[in-house]
Amino acid sequence: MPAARPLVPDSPPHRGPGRAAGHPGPHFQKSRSKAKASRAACQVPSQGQGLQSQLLIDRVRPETAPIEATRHLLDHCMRRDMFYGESGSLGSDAKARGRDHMDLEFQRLDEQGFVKFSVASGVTQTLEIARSIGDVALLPGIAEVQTLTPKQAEMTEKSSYSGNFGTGPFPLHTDMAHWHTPPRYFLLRCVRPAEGVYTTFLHARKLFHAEADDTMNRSLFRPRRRIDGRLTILRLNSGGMYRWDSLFIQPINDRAEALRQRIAQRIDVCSPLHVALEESNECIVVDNWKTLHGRTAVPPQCMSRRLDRVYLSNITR
Amino acid sequence: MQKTTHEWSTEAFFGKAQLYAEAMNEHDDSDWKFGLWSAFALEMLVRAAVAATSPALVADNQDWNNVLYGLGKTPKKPKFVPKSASITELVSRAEDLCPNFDREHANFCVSHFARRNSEIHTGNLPFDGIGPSSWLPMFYTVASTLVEAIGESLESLFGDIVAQRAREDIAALKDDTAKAVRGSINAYRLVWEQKSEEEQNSAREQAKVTSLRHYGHRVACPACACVALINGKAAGEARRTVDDDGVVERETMKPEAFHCVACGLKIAGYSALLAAGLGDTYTSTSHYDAVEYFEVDIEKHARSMMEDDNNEY
Repeated sequence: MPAARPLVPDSPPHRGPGRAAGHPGPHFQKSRSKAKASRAACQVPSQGQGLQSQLLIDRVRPETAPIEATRHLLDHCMRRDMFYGESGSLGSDAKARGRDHMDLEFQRLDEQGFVKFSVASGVTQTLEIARSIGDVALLPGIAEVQTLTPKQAEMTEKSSYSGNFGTGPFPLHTDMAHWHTPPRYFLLRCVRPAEGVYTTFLHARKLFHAEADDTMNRSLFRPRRRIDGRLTILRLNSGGMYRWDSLFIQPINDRAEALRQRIAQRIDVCSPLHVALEESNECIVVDNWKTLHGRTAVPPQCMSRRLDRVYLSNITR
Repeated sequence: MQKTTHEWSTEAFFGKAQLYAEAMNEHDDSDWKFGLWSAFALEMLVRAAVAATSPALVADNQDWNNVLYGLGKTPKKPKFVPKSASITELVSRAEDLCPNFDREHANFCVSHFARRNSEIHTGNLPFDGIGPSSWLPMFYTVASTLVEAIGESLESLFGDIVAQRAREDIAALKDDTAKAVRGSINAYRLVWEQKSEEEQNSAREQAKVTSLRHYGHRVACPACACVALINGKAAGEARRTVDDDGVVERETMKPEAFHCVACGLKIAGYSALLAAGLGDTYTSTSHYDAVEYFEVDIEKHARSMMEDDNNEY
């Protein structure tokens, strides 16, 4: 089994687009020493045999109290080789360290809205990775695993972001914002990296925290087009689920129009995190109810960029 | 994950109720459009309250396919168009489903929907010329009951400002002690009727002279029918318009106190005024000179125009 490849940051995550030009810079560089350390511990029993993905989460931050929703993922990850000794049994110290490590990272998913990790190069199926961290969501008319590649606008239908923005930057949005209940999570897996193209992230609270509950509740939107013959009312925050899309949802009252303008202004001046998927098998799990994401422009030499995306209804399995 | 919500879901109905409530409050409460939109909003609230148990209960049960549709299933019937129950039927269902929605509330709904039907199906103008105090407190009372039944609030339906007013109206409607004012009115009426015609004419003339618009809103006294004054407080934001003569500011005022110079009747408090039939809001209009309104210092402006240009500082 190939060695696991932990990723740790060599610097704080990049904020703002300035670094994208000229110095793309790996925001999440590999730690060779950790790779060595985990190389000897690859005999993962039981479920690990079939899966063989080593989810090694980058970027440790001291936190406590893992969120309930990530506990199962944590348990699953605890079976990974990095937490096992050479004998295949988990040493108490290693277990404690591992649990701390994973707890912290999935607390981070809750707080930051996304987590980047890497899987071993032997893992070929994106669906395997997705199933290992949660329940794959079956969206009507959408494949379980979707391949995302840059497309020229004129080559693509207008119902997609590529059809509207082509290879230009994709504005920050949440996926399926025009649906009544958008998918909760999604997994992005790098299949073919492209240097200089970044996925951008912004936590929804940065856009909405200044808004009163009354404003959020009474600002009414609707999908741009009918869905299954219907147009029903949407709110940007409903039960802790945030949505935003500058294109596919529209305001239907004055309050919503004013809110839309304020959000657009905040997005114009915000500094989203720029995260690069620099090697194949690097992955990001995104909380689509809490995080907006986008993409930087794709230069001509990066047209081969390819990501797999899988929607997840939860990460608790 | 769900692409759309059911069009008979509580959430969908309440969203439309919010929209209609917003349209309603874009008008003065004495405007007929205010009344019409209120009826639309109320209908959505009744439907939302019924759907809170199940959207299937919104269905017209004459065709079971409607029930099927309400349950989120797709009926096999060709050319099927889902049909919900009539609003009067739904009011009846709400009476059974919502614990605090009683017969009095149901009766108000039926009469309000009758006005709506008359408005949109006949040449009659049922919402024109009726004082809001005759129906608005009860409307708010029913709306409050229905939003409570679906786990929402008057604030989420109307916003904070209107919800505050709604609560005052509801409290006034419940205030039984205020109804004692009717006895006072009868007493003053008796005294007035015992006065000679000469005394009445004199008092009537005095009331005309003293009860000027400048001092309050002029109404007919419920005891002697002479001109009397109402004073109130602002109920909402002032609307400003600018014309050739300056700035005109209009504010909807809620009655707080009544005084009749002719017979001496005084009534204090909105609850008592509502019970006396004097609870209608009125519009206070103020005219301002633009210079005064925007606090422009003309002299300073003129002085600055007369000074020499100087780019040294």
